[in-house]
Amino acid sequence: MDTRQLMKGIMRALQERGADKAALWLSGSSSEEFNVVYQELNLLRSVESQSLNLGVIKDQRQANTSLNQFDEQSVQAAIDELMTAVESSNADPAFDISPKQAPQVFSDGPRQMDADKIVQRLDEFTTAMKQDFPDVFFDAFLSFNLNTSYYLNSNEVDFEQRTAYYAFSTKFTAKKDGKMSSFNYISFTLADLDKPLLEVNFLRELMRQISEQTTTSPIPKNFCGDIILAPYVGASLLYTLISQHFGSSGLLTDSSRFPEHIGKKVLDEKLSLYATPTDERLADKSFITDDGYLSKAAAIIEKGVLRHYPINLYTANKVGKPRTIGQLNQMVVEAGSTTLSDMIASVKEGVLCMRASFGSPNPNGDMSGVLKNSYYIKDGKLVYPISETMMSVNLVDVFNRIKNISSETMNLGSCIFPYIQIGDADISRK
Amino acid sequence: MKKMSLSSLLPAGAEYVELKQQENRSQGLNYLNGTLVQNSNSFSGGIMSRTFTNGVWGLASSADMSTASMQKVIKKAVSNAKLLSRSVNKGKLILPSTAAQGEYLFYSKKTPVSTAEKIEFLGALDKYIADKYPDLSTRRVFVQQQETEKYILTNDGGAMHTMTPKSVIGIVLMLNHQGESLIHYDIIGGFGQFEDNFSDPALCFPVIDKLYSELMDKKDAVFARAGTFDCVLDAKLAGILSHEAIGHTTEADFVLGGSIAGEYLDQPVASEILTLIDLAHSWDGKTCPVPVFIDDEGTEAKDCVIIQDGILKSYMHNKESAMLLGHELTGNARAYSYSDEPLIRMRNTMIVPGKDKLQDMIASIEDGYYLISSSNGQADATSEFMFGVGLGYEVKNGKIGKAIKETTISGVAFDLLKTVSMISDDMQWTGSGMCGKKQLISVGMGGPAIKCKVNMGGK
Repeated sequence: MDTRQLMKGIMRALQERGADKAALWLSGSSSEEFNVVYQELNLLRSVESQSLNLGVIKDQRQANTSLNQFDEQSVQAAIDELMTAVESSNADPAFDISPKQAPQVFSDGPRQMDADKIVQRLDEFTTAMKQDFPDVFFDAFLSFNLNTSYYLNSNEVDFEQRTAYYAFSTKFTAKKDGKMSSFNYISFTLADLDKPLLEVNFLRELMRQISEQTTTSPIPKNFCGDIILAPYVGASLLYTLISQHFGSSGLLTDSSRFPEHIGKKVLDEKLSLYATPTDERLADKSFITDDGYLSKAAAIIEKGVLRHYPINLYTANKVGKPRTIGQLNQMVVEAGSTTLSDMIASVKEGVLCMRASFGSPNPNGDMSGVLKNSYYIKDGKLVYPISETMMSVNLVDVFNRIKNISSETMNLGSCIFPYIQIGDADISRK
Repeated sequence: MKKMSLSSLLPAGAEYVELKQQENRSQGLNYLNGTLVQNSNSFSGGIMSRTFTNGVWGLASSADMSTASMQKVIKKAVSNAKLLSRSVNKGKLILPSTAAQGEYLFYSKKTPVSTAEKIEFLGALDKYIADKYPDLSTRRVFVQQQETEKYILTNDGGAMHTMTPKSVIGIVLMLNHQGESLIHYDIIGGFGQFEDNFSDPALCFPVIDKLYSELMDKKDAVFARAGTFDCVLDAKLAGILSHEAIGHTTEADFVLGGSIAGEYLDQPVASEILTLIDLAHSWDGKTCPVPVFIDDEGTEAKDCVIIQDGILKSYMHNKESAMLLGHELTGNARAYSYSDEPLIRMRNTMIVPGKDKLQDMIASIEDGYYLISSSNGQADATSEFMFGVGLGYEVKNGKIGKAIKETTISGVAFDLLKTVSMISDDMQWTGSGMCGKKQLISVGMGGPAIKCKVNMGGK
């Protein structure tokens, strides 16, 4: 099937049916996923999928539908349903599609899967795990993913991107003498399989840590001190903060604490956060934004100052702000100059938080979370792995109380993030 | 869904093969402050074949639902298993079987409601909120409807055709109060199509009024005190605890992966007044939120009594885990989309109601909390859990006092269950839940309120 012809035919049909504006996304993906279950290769899963999303605006009313069967009957039914649905919507002048831009085609990532290399890397991983970490139970998968996307809209925007990458994920826990650790996990994407998996993103160190986390102790007493957030934790917290207070959800629901703060200092001056959709260091890139623009690199937070709201076209129109970079998908936090070991050495009393179990902060940023796979620090030394310990923090305060940012970073494929040391956090025991 | 003819395609002589045709259909309508910001439909269908050979699995799938495509997918699944068995070959293993056949199509028998009528319904809710509660800073009302239709054949005799619907309405209210943003929400509905669950917007108005009243309580909310207290966990929180902190640890793939529950079979893990079951499809003569009569491996689905009178009695299984542990099949293998492999998933997890009255349970607390709704929850293979509490109240001398600010409760679930001293005689299902273990899937969580000792986060 010629997908371009299909999309152009659908675009014509929508316009003939009265759509003032229309946008189409056609996505196709194939994936070969090799799964390690119960510590052995167990499942090879091949997935072929496709999806076509149709969005229309008529009399400033909006509706969309998606389908994955592209025969004439299914497409016609989708168009009929969509044009009926849009009549039932209510009008909002904020609905719009991206303006005319020059057509572009992008391609990134390996041309094809190296299946032998995948099996070799997983075999090597499982063998090394059993030899070096015999107390660790683990599952994992390593997949090759090929994605193609076409974006077409009635303002003559015509973009195409092909991306490919490997994805690895593992979940692990340790058990020794009837005692067990909390589980930990990590997921990342890679452009190649040049390195053994255990040597990527401190994975070997995470396995060493979990092996010793079968014996844990509570912190001696409640205290207010430092938390060193591992990259996985820090990235998750910062992404939550950005979404709630600088992104669409905070601005549309009038719950952002920073609704008119472009050019103002909002976070600690040590923090710089960049939207990096096509950064060469990342395996999982985005050349096209969800709202039909070419992706753009930019500083969102520069030395603590807000430079851009990462919002889509609808939100920008709705809240009366310019749409500049679109939503945040890939991000990089600038590394600092302090090593992790120097960070630990600088802590009088605190914790090294390698994982945290936490829910959504309330709209003001208040939150608490259970520290997992984490360590008590006293007088500059890691003392022991901790259990049943909770942090109570305000998310905005967390990123305004940065003491140090590490020189080491973790590259998760769509995000590069360092360790971050914050002060004045409330740490409590059961 | 137009059913394919799959029986003639089942390959002969294979150790174990599944063929599946599946469609997931969904609709989302979302009003934000009076604007319909989402008016969307989605359809995703396809086919899958999975085969088990020499102790490994091969799976292939395609969105192309034709006979030729299914033949190609079957071959690919076989070649995938062969490729893996070059690295891992365990010889011929026999998967257990309690195959069942049946058709369970839960289409509404009521007059279909059009998209325009659903929008009108939501609009009525939005208008009611806007007119009656103009002080709110944000209001959101939404409909989510999902339908999953599956047709599965297995070469050990399993055959099933199901259509399982779910429809919910969500209501979110926000208020700016003295520079602070307050939020409260609820989701109503569950199993069934929109027509089955929602007939008149006015029937939802009391839910909105109650939500608003509880949001107003939050204006004067106080911080919870950190520490361990006697608490009553209302049905929704007790249901999440059952699912997240106990249920997951007793899924047999977690047990094989090192879960702490692997150490506890036939041992006391809870108060002897507590029984916890993962129900297949019915309770007390009524259909559960996620009815499963036959699972995605063609296995007859049975209730799995996880804890009986405080003793850990069994785990939930798919074919492979039952084979590895030598246990009976329970019918817990389920997959989310056409391309997914079935995983061990809970269906309808509940604590069996007890004999106590909720008001007596609250009255029995001298200094503690009544915790009503959860904002989220996570648990560990150790059964250590953390749940956000969206709504809760102080209880002093047996009386409900001030609301508490959003907080977190945590602990080790198997320890907490040993402190359960009262269980209410009523029960409530939450049918809107989605569980995210590799694949998102609908789950039912339910039960009564329980009184126990809880570790509160706070100041």
